[in-house]
Amino acid sequence: MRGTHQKPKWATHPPPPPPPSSPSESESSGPLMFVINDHLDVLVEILKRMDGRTLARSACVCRLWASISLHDSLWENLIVRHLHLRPPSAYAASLRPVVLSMGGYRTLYTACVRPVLHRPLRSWDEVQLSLSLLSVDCYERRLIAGGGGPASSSSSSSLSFLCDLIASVHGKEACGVF
Amino acid sequence: MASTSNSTSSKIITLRSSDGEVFEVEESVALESNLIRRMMEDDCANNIIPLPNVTAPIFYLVIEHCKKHAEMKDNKEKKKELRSQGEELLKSDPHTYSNLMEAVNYLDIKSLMDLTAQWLADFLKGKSPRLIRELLKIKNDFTPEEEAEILERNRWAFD
Repeated sequence: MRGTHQKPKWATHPPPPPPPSSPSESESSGPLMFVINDHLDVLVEILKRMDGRTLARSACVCRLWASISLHDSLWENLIVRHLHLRPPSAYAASLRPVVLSMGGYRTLYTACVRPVLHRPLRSWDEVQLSLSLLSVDCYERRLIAGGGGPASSSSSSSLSFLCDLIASVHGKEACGVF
Repeated sequence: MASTSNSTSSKIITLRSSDGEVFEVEESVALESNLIRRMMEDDCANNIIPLPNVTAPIFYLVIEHCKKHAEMKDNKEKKKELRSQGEELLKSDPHTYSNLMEAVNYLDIKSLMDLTAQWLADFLKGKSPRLIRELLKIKNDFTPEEEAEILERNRWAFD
């Protein structure tokens, strides 16, 4: 799995010391006997199968879950699952570096795929549209972050039209990422 | 002795659970487990294969689900049915679920890992981080600042 561009500060911390083991505690009747955090491969299998909302909530469970949920392959998997048509694998692989250079699949999901998820993505063309929107978003973010260029004077992204559109469909504020 | 074979033509593998029960399983079923496959490839499985980490009741469950999984191939209804059984098991008998998950992980059975992992992923859907921690006995090791930051970053998932 690959890392992402936005590494949170706790990802660089040494792993926390294991909690003191107390036999009485480990034998208490708990919902699950299986200590999921001791089985990294199983945990990844579970997170891989979550929907976007549950995956984002899971990032808030503990440091380990937070660091795994940042892995872009989980979000790539999630986006591909929303597709009715499977993209040719070579094509999907060629897109990967492009998406990564623009902030990764997690950013693609939160910024451009999730807002239109009230219906499933019907074609690979719609993903390409999402990618185009992501590139606009990425370009603007860079200009604003760099402090130069005409876009820096504008406080909101031009992608906010998506929010307006969705808000009018759902009658509520539907996204807050822009 | 439990036999899972209906056919005399396929090879039978003999396995012994941690509590000493002996199982005769068709080779095609036994080879679903990558652990057993590796043991057979390494030729250290001439006689009875011991499974020191799996008890008989759990091994029965594993075999049962391997069969169900084989039946549901290309059958969308059955697939849905099998997927929906997880919530019931996780609610009524999380202890058995844990043992099953542990056995599936130990025996390295991909099809059942897909199923049992999907069960838990479905079960956690819509639950808060606090409830997930309680259910899975996970310690919250964030500092208050870190927790506030990660909650803010994922705010959209709580709307």
